[in-house]
Amino acid sequence: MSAPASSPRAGVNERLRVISGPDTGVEIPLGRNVAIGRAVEGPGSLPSDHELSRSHARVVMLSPGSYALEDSGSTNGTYLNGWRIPSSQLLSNGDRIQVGGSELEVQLPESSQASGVRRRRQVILAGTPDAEQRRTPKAQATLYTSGLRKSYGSHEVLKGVDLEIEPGEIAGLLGHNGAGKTTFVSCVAGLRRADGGTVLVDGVDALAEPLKARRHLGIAPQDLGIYPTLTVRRNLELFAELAGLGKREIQANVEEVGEALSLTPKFDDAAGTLSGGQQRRLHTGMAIVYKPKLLILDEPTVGADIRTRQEILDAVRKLADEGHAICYSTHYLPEIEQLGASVALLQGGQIIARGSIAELVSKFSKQAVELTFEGPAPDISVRGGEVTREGSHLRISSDNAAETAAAALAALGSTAMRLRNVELVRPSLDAIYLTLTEQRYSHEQPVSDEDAMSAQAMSPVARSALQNSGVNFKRP
Amino acid sequence: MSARRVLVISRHQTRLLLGDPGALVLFVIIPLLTMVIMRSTQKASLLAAGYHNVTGAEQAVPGFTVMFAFFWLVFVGRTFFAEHGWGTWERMQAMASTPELVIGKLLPGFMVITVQMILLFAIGDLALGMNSKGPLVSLVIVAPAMAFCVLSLTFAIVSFCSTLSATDAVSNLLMLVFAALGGALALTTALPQWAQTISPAIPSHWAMEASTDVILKGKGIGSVIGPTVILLAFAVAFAVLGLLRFRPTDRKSIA
Repeated sequence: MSAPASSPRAGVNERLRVISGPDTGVEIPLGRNVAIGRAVEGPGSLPSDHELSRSHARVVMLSPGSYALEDSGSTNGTYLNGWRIPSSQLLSNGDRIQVGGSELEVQLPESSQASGVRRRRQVILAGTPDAEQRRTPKAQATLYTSGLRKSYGSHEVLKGVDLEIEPGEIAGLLGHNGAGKTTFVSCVAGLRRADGGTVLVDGVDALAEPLKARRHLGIAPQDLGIYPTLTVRRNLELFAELAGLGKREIQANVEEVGEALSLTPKFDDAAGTLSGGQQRRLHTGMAIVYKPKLLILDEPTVGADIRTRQEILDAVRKLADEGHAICYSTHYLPEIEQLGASVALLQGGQIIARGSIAELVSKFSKQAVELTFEGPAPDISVRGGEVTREGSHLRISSDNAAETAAAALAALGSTAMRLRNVELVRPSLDAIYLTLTEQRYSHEQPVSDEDAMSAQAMSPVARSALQNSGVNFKRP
Repeated sequence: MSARRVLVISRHQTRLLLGDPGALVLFVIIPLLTMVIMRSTQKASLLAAGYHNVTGAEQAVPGFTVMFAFFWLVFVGRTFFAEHGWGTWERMQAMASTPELVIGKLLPGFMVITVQMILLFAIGDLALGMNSKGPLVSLVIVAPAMAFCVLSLTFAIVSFCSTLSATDAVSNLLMLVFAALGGALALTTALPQWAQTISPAIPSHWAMEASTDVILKGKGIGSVIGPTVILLAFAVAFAVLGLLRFRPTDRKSIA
C-alpha cells in the first residue's frame, strides 16, 4: 500500500476530489497505485476521517487513463456510485467513491475515457421503415445479414435477423440468455447452417460460399478453445498460418498480439500452464492474430479478471481503429460503453433496436428527479414533468432533469422544509436494455453534479433554491 | 479444398501426436518387445503347422505389426475428442472446411502407420531373425493400404460414437477381435473352424494373408496385390460408413 502515490505515467488531470467528509476539498492525484485510508502513506491519506479503515481502498492504474478501484479489506466496505464493490471496478469520470465518512469524486479528462461513443448511427427499430431501408446492403458493410433464420427442431431461434456492421465499427450484440446471440454468430461464421436469409461477409455470400466467406472472418467462440500442449506462440502461429499469412507477417502479428495481450513473456510456455486470464487472452488473440476483416467475439471476457478484460477491450478497440468490423456479443453492458460500440439488441430472434448508446438512451428513456421528504410527499405539479408519488418519495420524469428539479423546488413552497434528499437520475444502458426487453426498470444512474448544477441547465433562482435547500446528490 | 491448409493442419496434428512420448513407446518399443517374447511360442506353432526352417519371427513380426497398427484406432480417435475437450474443434471449423480438417488430422496417422509397419518389418528381418522365403519388399504396398484401412475405421468409429469412453471401448474391442480372428496372434489355420469361416470378413486377415504368402510361402508381389485391393475395399467401405454418419457440428464428450 505504500507504493508510489504518483507515477510519471499518470495524467496531470487525473485525480480524486473529496467532496464530502472531514477532508472535503482535498485532491488526490492518481498514479500507478494510490492507497486510500486513515493511515496510509501518500496523498490518499485522510487521517481526519475516523470511519475510514487504516488502509481502506486503493486505486490502481491499469493503463494510462484507465483506473480500477479495489477494496483493501476495509471494515465497512468501499462503495462506487452507491454500490458496495465485490471486486475490482473500472472507474469513469464522474464516478463517486464512498469510503468511511468521505465521498470522493473521480476526475479523469474526457480524452482518457475509454473512447466514449465514437460512432453515431441512427436508431433503427425492427419493423420500421428505417429497418426496411437497411435491407439493401451497403457496399461498404463488412457484415450484412438480412432475414437470417435458424431453428432447432420446432424451436425457432432466429426469426429474421437484420444486422449491418461497417468497417471500423464495433457492434455490441446484446440479448439475454437464449436470445440467440451464439446461434447468430455461429451462423455468420458458418459453424451452424442457417435455414434462410442472407449473410454477406465483406461482400461474399456466406451461405452460398461459406469457405470463401470464412477467409474474411475470425471468431473467438464463447467457450475457451486453445491447444494446451502447444506453446502460446504455436497456438497463435497456427491460426495465422491457417489464414494464409506469410512467414514475416505471421511473426510480426504474433509479436504484436503478444505485446497487446501481455502474452510475450509466456510465448514459450505450454498454453495449458497459463492462468485462466492468460488463457482467455490467448483465446482471443488466436482470433485477432490474422486480423480478419470481420472479427466475431462471443462473450470474450466472460470470467475474465479486470486486467484481462481491459487488455482484451484495448486490443479490440485497436483493431476497430484499424478499420476492422467487430461483432461483440456480451452481457457486460459497461463494456459496450467502454468500447464506444453501437448496440444491436437481439430479442425473440430479431434485432429489436439498433443504434449508438447515446441515441438509444435519448430515444427510449427520460431523465427523472426523485425527491425524498420527511413525511408524505406533497402533491405538486411540474410543467413538462410526469409526477408519481409513493409514500415520502416523489418522482418526476422529464426530458431535462435539472430544469425539472429547479421547477419542482420552486413549486414546493413551505413543504421544502421537509425535503431531505434530491436525486437526479438518468437511465443507464442497463435500464434501456431492461426496458426494451420488457423487463423491470431497475437500474438507473445519478446525473453528475456538474450536469445538475450547470448554469446552462438551471436558472440562477433555481440554482440558488437548490443550494439553499442543502440537498446533495449523493445516492442514498 | 486447399492443399496448403491440409498441410498446415497435418503439421499441427503431427506436433500433437509427437508431443506425447508414449506414442513412440507404444508403437515401436512394445511391438518389438512383444515379438521377442512371443517368438518361441510362434515357432512351435509354425512347426506344428508344417513350416520348416523358421524362428517364430515369421509369424510374430507380421502378427504384432498388424495388431499394433490397429492400436491407432484408439490413438487417432482420441485426437478428435481432444479437440472437442479443448474447445478447438469449433475454432478449427471456422478456419478450414470439414474435409480439410478431417484429412489434415488423419494424414499424419497415415504416414506414421505406414512408417511403423515398414520399420517393424525391417527390424524383424534384420534383428529378430525373421527368415522370409519371398521378397519382403513386396509387403511395402500392404503398409499404406493397411494404414488407410485403420484410419477409415477410426473415422467411422468417431462418427458413430459421441463419447470418448464409447470410442475407446469400441476401438479396443475391434483391435483385439481383429488380432485374434484375423490371424495376427496365431495362424488362421490354428483357429477353430467357426473363426476360420468369419476371418475373411476381417481386414487384418488380408494383411496376414499377404504376409504369410510372402514370408512363409515364398510368393512374390503378385500374391500381395489381391489382399491389398481387399484391404483398400475395406478402407473405402469404412470411409463411406463414416461419411454417411459424420456431422461436424455433433457434440463430442470426453467423458
